[in-house]
Amino acid sequence: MMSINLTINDRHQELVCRLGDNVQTLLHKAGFHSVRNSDDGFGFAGSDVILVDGRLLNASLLIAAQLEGCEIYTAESLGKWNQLNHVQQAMVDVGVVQSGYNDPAMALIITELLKHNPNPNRDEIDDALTGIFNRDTGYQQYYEVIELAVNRLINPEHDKQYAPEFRDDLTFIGKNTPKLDSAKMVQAKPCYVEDRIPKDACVIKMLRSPHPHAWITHLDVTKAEALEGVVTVITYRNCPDIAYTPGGQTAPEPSPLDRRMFCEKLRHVGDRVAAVVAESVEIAEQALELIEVKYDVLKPVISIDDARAADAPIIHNGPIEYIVGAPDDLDEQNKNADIRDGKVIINFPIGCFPRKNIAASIRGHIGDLAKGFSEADHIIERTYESKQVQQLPTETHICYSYMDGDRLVMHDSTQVPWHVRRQVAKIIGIKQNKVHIVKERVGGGFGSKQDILLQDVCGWATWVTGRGVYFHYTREEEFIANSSRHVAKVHVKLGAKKDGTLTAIDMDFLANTGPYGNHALTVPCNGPALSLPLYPCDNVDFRVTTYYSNICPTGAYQGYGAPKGNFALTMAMAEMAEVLGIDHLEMVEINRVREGQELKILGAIGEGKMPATAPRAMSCALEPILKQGRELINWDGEKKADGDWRIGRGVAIIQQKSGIPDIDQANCSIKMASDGTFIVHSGGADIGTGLDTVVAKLTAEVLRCPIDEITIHSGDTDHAPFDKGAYASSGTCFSGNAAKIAAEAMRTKILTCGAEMLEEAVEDVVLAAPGVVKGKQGEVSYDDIAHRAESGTGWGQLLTNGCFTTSEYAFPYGANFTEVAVNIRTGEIKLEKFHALLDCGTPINPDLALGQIYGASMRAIGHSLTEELIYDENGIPLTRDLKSYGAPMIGDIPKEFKAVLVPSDDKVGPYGAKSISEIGVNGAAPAIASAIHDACGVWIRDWHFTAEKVLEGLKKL
Amino acid sequence: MIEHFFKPSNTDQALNLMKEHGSNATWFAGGSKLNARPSLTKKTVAISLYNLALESIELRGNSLYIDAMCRVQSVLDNELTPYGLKQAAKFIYSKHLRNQATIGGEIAAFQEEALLLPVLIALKTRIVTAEVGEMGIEDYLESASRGLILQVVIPDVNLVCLAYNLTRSAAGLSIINVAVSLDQAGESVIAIDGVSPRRAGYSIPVRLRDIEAQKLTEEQLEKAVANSVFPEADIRGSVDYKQYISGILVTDLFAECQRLVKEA
Repeated sequence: MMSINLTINDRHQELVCRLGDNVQTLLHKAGFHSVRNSDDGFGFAGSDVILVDGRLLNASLLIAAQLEGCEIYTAESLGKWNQLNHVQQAMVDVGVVQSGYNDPAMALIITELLKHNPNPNRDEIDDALTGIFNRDTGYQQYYEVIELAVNRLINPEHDKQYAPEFRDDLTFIGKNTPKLDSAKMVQAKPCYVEDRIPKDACVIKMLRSPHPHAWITHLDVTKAEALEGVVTVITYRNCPDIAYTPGGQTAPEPSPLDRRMFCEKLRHVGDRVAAVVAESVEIAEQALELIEVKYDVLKPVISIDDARAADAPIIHNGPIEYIVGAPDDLDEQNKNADIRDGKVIINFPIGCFPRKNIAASIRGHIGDLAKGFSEADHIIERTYESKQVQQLPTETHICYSYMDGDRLVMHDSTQVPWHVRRQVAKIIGIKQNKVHIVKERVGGGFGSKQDILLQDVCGWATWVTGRGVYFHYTREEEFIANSSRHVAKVHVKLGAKKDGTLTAIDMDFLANTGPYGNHALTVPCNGPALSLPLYPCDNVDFRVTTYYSNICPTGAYQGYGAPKGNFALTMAMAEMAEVLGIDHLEMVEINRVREGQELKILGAIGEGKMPATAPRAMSCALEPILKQGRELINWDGEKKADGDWRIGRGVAIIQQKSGIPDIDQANCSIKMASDGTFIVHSGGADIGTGLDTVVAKLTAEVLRCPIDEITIHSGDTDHAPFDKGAYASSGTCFSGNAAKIAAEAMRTKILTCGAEMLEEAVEDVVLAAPGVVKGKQGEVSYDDIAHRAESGTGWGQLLTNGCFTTSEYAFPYGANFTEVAVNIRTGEIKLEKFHALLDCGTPINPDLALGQIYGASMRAIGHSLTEELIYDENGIPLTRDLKSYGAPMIGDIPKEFKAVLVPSDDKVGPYGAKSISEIGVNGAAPAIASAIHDACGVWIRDWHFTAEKVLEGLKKL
Repeated sequence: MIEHFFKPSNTDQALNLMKEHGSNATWFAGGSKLNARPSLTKKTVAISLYNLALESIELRGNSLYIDAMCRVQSVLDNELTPYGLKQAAKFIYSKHLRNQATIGGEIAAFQEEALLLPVLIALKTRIVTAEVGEMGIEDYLESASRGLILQVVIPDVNLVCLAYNLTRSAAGLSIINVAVSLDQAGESVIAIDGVSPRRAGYSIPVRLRDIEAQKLTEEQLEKAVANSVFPEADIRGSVDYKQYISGILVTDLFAECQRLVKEA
């Protein structure tokens, strides 16, 4: 150990460390939480940026020895205690802080930029932000942040509203309000799991399979166990023998329970072989080297075609059990079962046939398909493919568990705290009251933190050792041992009349789920479920079949099947339009869904449960959206070629849900504190989307009190009621409605108590801002009511609950319009314009809603143009870091990037609100691909769209 | 892990330290590669160049003398730096990396992507090392053990030179990295990276000397380049694509250089 003398944030410090210690680790351990790690020293993400002697550098690319005598500033140097600097305040005011994980780093970078260049232009901004990966917001709103901060440097009182506001009749709803946790995040106050881990906690490091498909034939961990500092080693021999699904879904899950914590059989590169629990990362990594393991390598199954082949290796050959609805031939299916493979338990029939490598399958239809095609003037058949892509949260997966008496406490970065509690309790073999899950701030989820990927091992390690243990994924583990987007191959057959009217749609949706079947039914089902209703047609048939394989795992990812279904159907529509000689947008207008229309096809699609009746599009703003979109992009305008560059425009309409009717549920409790303020216990899991702010605004709107007098406590399984979790775009509609119901119940209680105190009839009193009950004779404050309630002669503390379930759907709608330039000589594709127009009903937080649209659009643009998990011919993943994977940066955003909110009034959501988070990823691929065709005449039918594919289409290669 | 970190104050001390610690030691400039996960050094002794006073950029006549410890961002920001080299400096996408990486380190390190090398070759760069003095950059790159760089010399800052790095995403892997220079006498240099099999994980740009010597039409040049490079298929693209696009990129840069020479 050495002493390094340096200055950090103007204070002299002496760091006792080794010369070669990594500076990011060192500073974070020293309490500088802003110095975060998103990529383990690849120098790509920039979450670790610090200012060293006037230069912004990545801390993880420095060693301690380089800091001797240096002057260092971290983001903690910005602003003062609870006082933001001009950049941080602008970030909060523009609403750009979502998951917030590397926003302190962003604030430091922008502050430094403005220090040297008080009025930067776009090129200078783009260059300054080259070193930071922002997955949440799509970068666009940072131009506004910088404009605001620049103006405030000149005039500190300067203010500007960047997002529109809605609903003049309401006080908080539809207005721009700072996200409740944004100041805490941008100042790097401790709020993530990593900030809670004490220095003496043990760590888990996982030995992972180098092979996509193999048996473990020899495993000796004795040398590793003997290493000083190793606490235990967990393998298939000493883990619980419980079958479960990693999918964090409402139970009973519509996914096969086909995973064991550790298994003798390995099903993907990165599958678990052994977990070392040790007292330091270094010891754990040394121990991994001491584990002796031999493999019998099996032939891998990589593609859907591989999985369907008659002689395909069977991925799951363990005994199959059904909880209900076992098929008659179950004994026959189990004839050659191998118990070493691990059990496959199926909660209820989902079309799972493991011996055929089928994880789930379903069929649905309406009308008469043959008749529909016979009525068509033209029929086309096409196949569209999409690749495996990753969510890339800037905070990699992490959890930390410890024992509190006889209870297991887990701090977790999760979207589904209640499902984590249920799964962890079940796997460990204890009751749920012995498990306490604390959802911390989540540094990006996008679906990937809906699954149980670390918590089972971490919880078990703590349970069997009694030690505090954390498990933090590396960026490589994010790529190989995480959930990602399913691979899909979708065959579409369309029939249409000469005038463009669709007469029949046939969709065969094949999906590749990889080694486990989490979400194997529901994700692919949403392919047809979220695309076919966009074009109501009387004769529709669809099949969904999801295959097991040995690619790295898939699961939930924003959009949840919709991007793939939408890509296939929109492209087929565009191709049909070309055949018919009709403008694509006209074809969309002719066939699109209308407000109030019955969506017959959805009566034939369920997510484990069929709807009682076909739902209707209760609210739908597609008409104004398409009108505005056409004008904004100048759809009918000239497309002037420039040298080898050709211009094309494309469009895709999109939809999503706002939670899953008749399956999911949300709850909320509100208690009045002793001074008339409120503590709201929301089950909802805010993962950076601003759900806590939504809950606070809904509560404030109902109770007519300042938002500042409402405190939200959410996502904690001990201190909040049950909620399904953050998925299926359910937050605003489900968790929000639960809060509104609880607030309405509180309003009733307050009115009753207030009336009694005023000695007036209940019907004669009303709530009025700010937090009073007004009667005909006088008024009484919430403070007085609370005091009376808690007195010896009072009514008891005012406590209320709200539970929200529904059979009704609230569909958000939207459209993406794009303009691309394609170089017919080089094949290059430039995304000149991307306009996302979305109807999320009443936008509760307009600025945050815009940020969500930009972020989702940019993720989808990345998936369409640059991102892909690629394997070699043996099934070995080749893209295991952000650079080789093609993660988009500020230089990849469209030249003209616009998000537009087009409101509608929905009857299901609170104050007419619908969801916003997921829909934004659903349309970029077909909007871009159809624009590419418009520009150069090439149909690219498989994601992603590359220059090479353009050149192939142009017959240049 | 680095266990010893020496900061010699002159070149002789540095060379002696290297002699003393031999294979356990590494030269240490900015550290952007030695500390990075994919290329993390296994050496235990670092000999830092920090105190060697190698951070100036100076124009002497038409030649630009860039000290080895100049950060890539400093090179980019300097008004004396030729345009082509400025273009190439930005191929290192992250400004934070440019703030840390030194020009000497970019040349000396064995990298999978050596983003400055094609343009430095096209600029006919000379390298001054502590061990043997001045040599051409191509000779330096071919030497088995790359010596300690003290200075990088651009012989003629007025030489017309352009560079282009083809990637699929802004910060993504380099597919093809091309640089072309052309002087008033019509002499050209064409350097291209990403088109030859990598040697033990690192790349050295190819110089297309045969083509440089010919006077070709644009169409002929496209074909000649495509036929002269022998890339490997990988996640960046197929062999056909890389050959085709190499021809296009070289031809476009060459045509632009011709235009600039005429204007000069």
